[in-house]
Amino acid sequence: MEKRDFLLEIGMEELPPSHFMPARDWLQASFEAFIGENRLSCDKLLVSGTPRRFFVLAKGVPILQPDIVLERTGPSVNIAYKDGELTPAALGFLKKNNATPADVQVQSTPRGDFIHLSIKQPGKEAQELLKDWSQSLLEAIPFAKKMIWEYKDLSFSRPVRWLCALFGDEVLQLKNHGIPCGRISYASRHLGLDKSFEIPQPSAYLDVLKANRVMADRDERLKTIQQSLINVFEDRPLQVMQDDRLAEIVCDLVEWPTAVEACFDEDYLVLPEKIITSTISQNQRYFSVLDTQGNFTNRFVFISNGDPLKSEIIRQGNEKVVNARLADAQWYFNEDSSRPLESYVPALEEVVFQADLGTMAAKVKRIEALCAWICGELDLSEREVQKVLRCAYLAKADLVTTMLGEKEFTKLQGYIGMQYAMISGENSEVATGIWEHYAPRGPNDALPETLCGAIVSVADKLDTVCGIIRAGLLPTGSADPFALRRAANGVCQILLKRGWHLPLEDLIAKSQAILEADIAADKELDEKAANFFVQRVQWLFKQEGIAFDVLDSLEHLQLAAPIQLMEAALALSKIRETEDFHSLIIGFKRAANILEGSADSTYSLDTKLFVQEEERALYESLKELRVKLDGALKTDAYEPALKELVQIGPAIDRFFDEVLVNCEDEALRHNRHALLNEIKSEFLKVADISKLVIDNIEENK
Amino acid sequence: MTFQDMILTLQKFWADAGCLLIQPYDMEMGAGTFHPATFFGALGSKPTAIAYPQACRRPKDGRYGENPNRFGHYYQFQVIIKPTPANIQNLYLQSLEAIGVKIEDHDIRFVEDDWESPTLGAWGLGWEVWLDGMEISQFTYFQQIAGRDLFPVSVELTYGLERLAMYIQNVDDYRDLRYSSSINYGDLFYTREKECSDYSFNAADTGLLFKLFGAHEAESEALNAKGLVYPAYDELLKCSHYFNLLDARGVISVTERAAYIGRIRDLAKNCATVYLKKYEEKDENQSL
Repeated sequence: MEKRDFLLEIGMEELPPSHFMPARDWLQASFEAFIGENRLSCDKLLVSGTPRRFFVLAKGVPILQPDIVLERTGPSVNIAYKDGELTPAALGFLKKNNATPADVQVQSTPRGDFIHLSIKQPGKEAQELLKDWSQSLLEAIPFAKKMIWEYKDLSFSRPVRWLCALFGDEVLQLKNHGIPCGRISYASRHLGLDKSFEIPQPSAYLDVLKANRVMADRDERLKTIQQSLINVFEDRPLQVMQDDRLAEIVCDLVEWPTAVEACFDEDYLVLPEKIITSTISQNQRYFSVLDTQGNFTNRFVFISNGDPLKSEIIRQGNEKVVNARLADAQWYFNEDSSRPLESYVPALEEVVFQADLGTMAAKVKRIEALCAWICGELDLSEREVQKVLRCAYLAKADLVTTMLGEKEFTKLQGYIGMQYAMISGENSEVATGIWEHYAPRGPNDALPETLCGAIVSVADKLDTVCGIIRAGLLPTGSADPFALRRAANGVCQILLKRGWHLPLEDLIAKSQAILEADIAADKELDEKAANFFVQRVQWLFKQEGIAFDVLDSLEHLQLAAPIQLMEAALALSKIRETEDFHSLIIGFKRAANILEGSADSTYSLDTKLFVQEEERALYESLKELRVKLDGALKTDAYEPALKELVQIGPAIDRFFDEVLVNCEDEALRHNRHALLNEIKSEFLKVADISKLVIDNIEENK
Repeated sequence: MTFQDMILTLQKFWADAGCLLIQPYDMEMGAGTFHPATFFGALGSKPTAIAYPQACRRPKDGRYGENPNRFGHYYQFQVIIKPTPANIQNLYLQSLEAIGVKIEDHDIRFVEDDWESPTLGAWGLGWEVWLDGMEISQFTYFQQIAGRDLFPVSVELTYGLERLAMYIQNVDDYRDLRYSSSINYGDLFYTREKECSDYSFNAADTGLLFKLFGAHEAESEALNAKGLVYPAYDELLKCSHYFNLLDARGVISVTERAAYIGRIRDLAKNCATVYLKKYEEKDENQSL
């Protein structure tokens, strides 16, 4: 069959770099699905584009769908014919399938004879199918964020300005809200305003675009960029710092890449690395250049989208921008570091942390108090304590330096403090702690490595969470303007990772007590803060792969030290799979159910009222269990403790097998409830295993 | 091209393109977007096409006049068009050519920028426009103002006039910009810039500013309650300015900032509600 090439180009105003790849992938999947569903094919498919265009280039698409034959079975012959004539039922069947009596065949099956149609469906023109697919696209392409511009019912990443749709030499006239559609496409911006050209046929697309300074295939563009970054310093002892992510971003910012070497004033190299890189790579999307020792140099390489012949003008402009930005940074840096970091601390008095919680200075005082308490609990040496407290004292000082007053560097809070602390001659752990006390900055961010950083981080975040909640600003739904979830998550993560035996409950209580210096306690809100932490613990343990029912049954440990909860959870997760434990759960659930139905569970146990051997035996086992559990739990040995529970399982089973708990005699009944109740409280010291989900069928046995 | 010629040329260009040339607003504002012609113009369904230069104050950007690229007081040129013309990017590029930026000679890029003004409850999508790596304009399709979805959509172009002029005149320090053929920008504004920085960073009475913020906030609410939306909006501008001054003094923490911005946003929402009720609903009913 005759084949033709298909081209669709969607012309846009510049797309955000991060929007390109997901949309391209979607487009390709959509086209492949379309081809498959419509029994079409293509010899070669390329879906790609630039910031200003997506294109689908399918070579060798058959001009017609293959014909197919649809088999349709109608009523049985008995029903279809009466007196040799077709009945209304049969005629209805024909009508439904657009068939005439002449088309009717009879098909014999084991179930009898039926009338039958073999309907030949001629293949549709591929042109029409391609048109339908193209017309349905714009609304369907997903983007992280969409906008409207001209049409109320059409949103896209950025405005769509032209469509180019060809099948062979012919234009497919797409109707799409009046967006111009034809064989016209547009050249690179540096060739002048609105420079357009015609695409004669799809196979010429990539070449015609290249002639108009558009390297439309993204893979080719990316390779060109990477190669040109290597080539820049061919014979010199310099190299571009490899940054594949940046290369991809840049690739999605340009249509006609040219690598241009440039440099900034050497004097700025005295600035800390992150200040330079945040200016060069994050703001300007330039590549840093390293010498053979791997040191930063004052050179950088940028990928121009301009006319390669004009690179000199473009270089000068870019250098000017970088120098101006670095001049700004250096001014702050010199200004700030002319005095010790410590000297900024008093100015925190003037910074409001939050209206109801006082100034940043007040916050620092609270952090220091909480750090002192934590150090005491952890039994740290005097030397360590001094470092932690110094770190706490200086942790927020950089906020009032001019560098952070500048919006462009706010992401570097803590980092700036660390730099200034080092210049001021602070201990290196203290300095690193200042940077690290903001960690983790997100769910996947690294945790503080220094002890200083870890303790100050926990204290700072606890204070924020407990304080903001006491101020009545508990996060609701997705609104969490103070990032309390992240802060509380961070506290739990650090405590768990460090394995500190610091109960969360005590930390929260201590933080809340310290907060009273600035805001009165509020029982209801303070409880909400504790519950908030419970949710965060649950989040963290879910991340760690702990089953929800295991966590449920350890409810009494949710505000214990996270490490303690983790040990218990791991032990319980392991033992729950064993058979003995399984029957123990069933026995325990039975006891719990009986007690739930009991009016009063405070009957006292009287050993003289034991009648049956099984009662006495269970009681003896209980006494033994109590002693052993107390020993095990004293050292948080959850696995041995759980094994002790298993030991009492057979005694419980025998008890239930032989003893009628809810007997007629009230005194005996109450005594038996009392015995079960004591068993239950013993179990609850370890875990409420009635919360563990087990197979229902077995439970009912 | 001198600084004043640049403004004249842009005005002429946009007037020829069909824009109404309105004048700068007579109150302090941090950005041209705060001009009531933009705020109210972008709301509702009436077409609008305006252009104006606007003096902007960002106390935080003050550098005592000493930084070659930064100043607490500067000028923006602002264009608002609703509904958006399909050739708006080209119109914009043509306006650059009009002031002497030859498109063929440069790397002009539209770099993603999700613009938002939390203070006005406004956001839009568009770009920063880069001229050889330097941000010279903000190009935004407004999607929301005062928390309200907008349709028809307005496009907003904001030119950073000093930066553009520095590029065009090839000077490295704003003070050397030729404002007219006889006077430099620095001659006109350096001492003022210096004093205002001193005021913003040292002399401003923060206690007074906090009080003023509260007073104007209350007044804006009271005026909106009376349906006096334009005066209420003026009070919002006052709040916004005092907030900017307090922010420059560094007396509002990162945490507290959000709350202050939220308070101004609430005023903006009130203004939008009153405005639309008073001036739009009637028209919309008529058009039905």
